Amino acid sequence: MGDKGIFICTAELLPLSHPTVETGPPGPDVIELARVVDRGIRESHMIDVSQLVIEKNKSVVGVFADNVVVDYDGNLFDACSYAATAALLSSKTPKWNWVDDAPTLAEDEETPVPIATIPVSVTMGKIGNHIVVDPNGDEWASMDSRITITSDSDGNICALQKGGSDGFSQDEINQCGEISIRVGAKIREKLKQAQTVGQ
Amino acid sequence: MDNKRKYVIPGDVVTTGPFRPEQNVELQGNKIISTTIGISEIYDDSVKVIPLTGKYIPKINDLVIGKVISHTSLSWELDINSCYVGFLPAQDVFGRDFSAHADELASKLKSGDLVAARIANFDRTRDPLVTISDRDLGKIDTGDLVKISPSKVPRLIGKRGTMIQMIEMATDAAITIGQNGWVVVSCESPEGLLKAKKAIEMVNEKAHVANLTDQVKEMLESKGES
Amino acid sequence: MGGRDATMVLLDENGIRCDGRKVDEPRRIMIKAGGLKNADGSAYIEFGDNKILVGVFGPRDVHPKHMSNTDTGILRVRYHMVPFSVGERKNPAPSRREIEISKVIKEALEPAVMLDKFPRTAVDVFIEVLQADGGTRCAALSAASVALADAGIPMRDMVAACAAGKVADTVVLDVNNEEDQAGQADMPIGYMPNLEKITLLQLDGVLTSEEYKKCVQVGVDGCKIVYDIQKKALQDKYFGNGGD
Repeated sequence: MGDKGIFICTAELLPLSHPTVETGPPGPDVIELARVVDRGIRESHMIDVSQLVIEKNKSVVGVFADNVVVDYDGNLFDACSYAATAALLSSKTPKWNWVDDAPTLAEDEETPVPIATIPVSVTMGKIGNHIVVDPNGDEWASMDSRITITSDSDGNICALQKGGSDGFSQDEINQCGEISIRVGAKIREKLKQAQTVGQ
Repeated sequence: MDNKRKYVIPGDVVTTGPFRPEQNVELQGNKIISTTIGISEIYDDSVKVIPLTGKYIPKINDLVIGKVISHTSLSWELDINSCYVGFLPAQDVFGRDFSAHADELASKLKSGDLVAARIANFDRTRDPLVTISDRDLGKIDTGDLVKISPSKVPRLIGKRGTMIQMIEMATDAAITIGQNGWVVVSCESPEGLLKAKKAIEMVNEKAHVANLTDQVKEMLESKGES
Repeated sequence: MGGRDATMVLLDENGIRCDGRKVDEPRRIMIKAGGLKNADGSAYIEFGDNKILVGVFGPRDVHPKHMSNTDTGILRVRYHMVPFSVGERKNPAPSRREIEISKVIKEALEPAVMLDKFPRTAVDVFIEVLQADGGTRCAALSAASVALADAGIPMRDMVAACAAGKVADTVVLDVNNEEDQAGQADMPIGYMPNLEKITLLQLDGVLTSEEYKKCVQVGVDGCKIVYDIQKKALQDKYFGNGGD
């Protein structure tokens, strides 16, 4: 396992983000949010973790992307996913070298996070027989079910999560797949701006 | 078994004809589907499924056997083998001049007592209201409690009471059947008691079998130590 | 994991997978309805080397009281792996993974169950994974659906579940543990066969747009195979002798 670096993405709802949010350990909704956002980025192989190795089988670099929600208006899946992706695109990690059998920080040197692709999640809500992209707070509260589909820069689908207490027909699932790739491509252009900021 | 009756599980299409959906079926598009495991029956203009499993859902006027769980100064709570507890107000037992100060509920019914009760009112917004102030209702002093699946109660009674009469005649037992699946059996002779209980359990386990009446009859007529 | 990929052949030239199956063949599946005495309904499933027991209680009083809903009954699901279900002892406390799976299984069952007839009550589904070998959520969902029917909970349809996936650049049915670790994608699907509705869907791994559609199709076909086995389990228990 020593030939890959570590990537972890988290998400947390702060109590000031909505009157119904309570302090204490995260409930199932927040756990699902964090895991879905993490999975979208991880499964797309956005970060080339093989480049995060300082010395094989001895020491690797860890990259953490921590989302904190400060104000709520529905569709946290995409909000957190874009925030984490944009942050990763614009981040620089300190540079580490393997010196005298120990990782040593190289002063004043930084490297960008090794990026292989840009994943974009697109969350769709089903309200009656309609599919809406990016449900806002009111839509989120009234939709019957939802689906979050993440696609990568090559237009492949790399992660998916259905939620909510209703189902989708097979046609709807296929349709949502197409929408996610099409809408995802537009949003990816926006995210690329973050990359230019970082450089 | 004629072609109108079918064994069904949830989701199975019972019929597509122009019928009125009744118990345990749901209309979906032009199909009437079963919502439980059971036997579907199609009548002249209606369809229903007789369930083979499931909890007791209170119905007004049902006779049930209840067990006292607890009481406050104003009412008793009865376990009626349902998702809701039976609510028995003190006035039902003490009459109109019941006084919360003078009358002690535990003097009439204690926790653990069995009662034969009738569902007086139930509308799903509140727990079912039961009464024991009628002929044949009230505290049960003797007998053994046998628990069967509430969905098997119609089978235990049989067509026009044939099954239960047959068991009572053969064993000399007095049997009170609650619609909630709780049955009280009392009998002077221990052999009769055992046989009656065995017959009831047989119906519970083999309710779907076609020649059940014959099988029970055979068991009741057999001479044996069982 | 890294070293194993090279030695293990996931799919040979004849289209046979590492455990001898064809690409569209599920593992051996056995379901038994009932079995637990105290639960209102129960089921046991063996899905390949997965062994899972499900017990259902309810509808019953809701505790804590504030969770109860005056309009409808509520469904609660707990997916749990016992400590000896995997090679390395699992901490019995519920992990984040188990909490998420509990939630997706609950949401996969909700479209089927009709709890509006039981306001102020709860139906509790307890899923215990006794032995895990990849694809536990699908096996658990399939068994939970049988246990709910066994408990007599009103349902619009059964929910059958099976995973599809991508192994050695090929779309296959029912990904096992080795294929999940070394394969390219895993897509668990839950499906209501009569209403033709997908109620559970997840995906990890990269698929092209065409492979995505094919995966959904292969998975749905797998669910129909599982459905027939669920049906048989209920028939065996309820219509066993004298049934048709």
